Amino acid sequence: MYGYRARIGYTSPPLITEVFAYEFYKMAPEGVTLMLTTLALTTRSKEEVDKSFEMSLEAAHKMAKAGASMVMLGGNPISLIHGGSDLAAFEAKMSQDVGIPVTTSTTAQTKALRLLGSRKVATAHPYESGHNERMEKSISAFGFEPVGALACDYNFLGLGSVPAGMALTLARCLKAEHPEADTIHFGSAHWATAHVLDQVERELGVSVMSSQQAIFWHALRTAGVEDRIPGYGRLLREF
Amino acid sequence: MYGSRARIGYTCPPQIAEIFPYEFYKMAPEGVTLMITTLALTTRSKQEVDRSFTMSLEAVRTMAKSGASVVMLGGNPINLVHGGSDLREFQERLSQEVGLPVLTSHVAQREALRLLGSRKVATVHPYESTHNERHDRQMREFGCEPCGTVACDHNFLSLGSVPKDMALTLARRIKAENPEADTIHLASAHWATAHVIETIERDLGVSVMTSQQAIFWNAVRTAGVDDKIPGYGRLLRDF
Repeated sequence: MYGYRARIGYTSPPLITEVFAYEFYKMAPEGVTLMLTTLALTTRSKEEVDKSFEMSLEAAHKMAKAGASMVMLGGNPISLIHGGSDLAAFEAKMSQDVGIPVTTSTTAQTKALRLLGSRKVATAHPYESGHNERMEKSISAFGFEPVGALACDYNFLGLGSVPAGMALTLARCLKAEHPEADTIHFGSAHWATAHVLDQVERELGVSVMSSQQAIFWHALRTAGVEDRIPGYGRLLREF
Repeated sequence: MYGSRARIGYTCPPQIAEIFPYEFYKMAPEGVTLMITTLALTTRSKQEVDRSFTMSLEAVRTMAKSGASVVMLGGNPINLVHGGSDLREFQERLSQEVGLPVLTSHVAQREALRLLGSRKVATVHPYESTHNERHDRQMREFGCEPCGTVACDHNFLSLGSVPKDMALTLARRIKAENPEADTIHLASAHWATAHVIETIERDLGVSVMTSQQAIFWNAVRTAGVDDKIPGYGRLLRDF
């Protein structure tokens, strides 16, 4: 089988998933495959979030039966609303239920920021600026100090259309406006960011954590693949 | 955006998609991306097939709004049960409704066999042998004469676990048993086949049409990407 080293289960919040799988296969070593179930989000309504949580649980069970090495539950809002106040306990219970490691994108990103030694984090995200406050709250919930957020002003259905130059442009703006930032966070795993991670780190002298990169990294390491992967930031190269 | 040349929408019948995106990104030229929605199949029950058709239609409309270049509806059983007796008419009606080309995997495979000049086709598929008759019937619907069918005896949830050498081993066997076959069809787009297409064509002196290859080919050509792609059989190299 193609996934002879690891088969990574991922529940992907957008009903139409495009960028995550593209970036996954740019980063993945040979022998590592993605097992993907798309969820229900097109507008992020409460109904869609609730439905997506139910779909995630069902998919985690099916992925375990299908031979996944581990399962990553995508979507901070989905996990934070439904996973309870203690996400570690939720993950432990899920892992026990399905018989393989289950983790969440929230945990992945928190661990990534800790390992990178981040303290002051500026966030660029693809959504409308109405989401800035939520993004800053996420950084606080991860245990770090938010120092600004910038939006691309796209909606859920437009994520795959964000221009390839957008992430770099916003990172430069953020660092200029918030020179105290030691880390740039590209929030959301579903817009084009992987191709600029190294450049942002090198050019701006910061660490970079993108949601997609952190999810990929945590999933891979949880599945026992320890290869250091060049080209996509310190996180994958050093940890 | 990553999909600067074409963004291929695909409704993927298995609830857990693994092989299709993997093989897609092995074949795709730079600038071509996959927009995927997973459907509901885990056992292929009537209830799952019905639900998957409804999900497909919702996905097509959402993909059109998201900027897809073309949408390919996956799953012969899903589209044959619900798309009516004339799938081309069904495709045209949907295309007109959503404002971009909508295709089906059934028509893609029929068109691929026609271009390859196939007449006597032996089929290897990953499912249980009880599906042999269905595959023979389908070959007649494609306008070809079925001459032998062999099964791998896997189920829907284990498609990603089919050993990598299975497709080649069974292709050799079916050609030995049916030397009159001019084409080998590796049916189902969700098991490991792309890596052996060239070997089979060269070693056995036949054409090869895999479901995944035909779907990919029909989708990228419809999207206006006419690159001749080496490494995955005559279909992608010559047409």
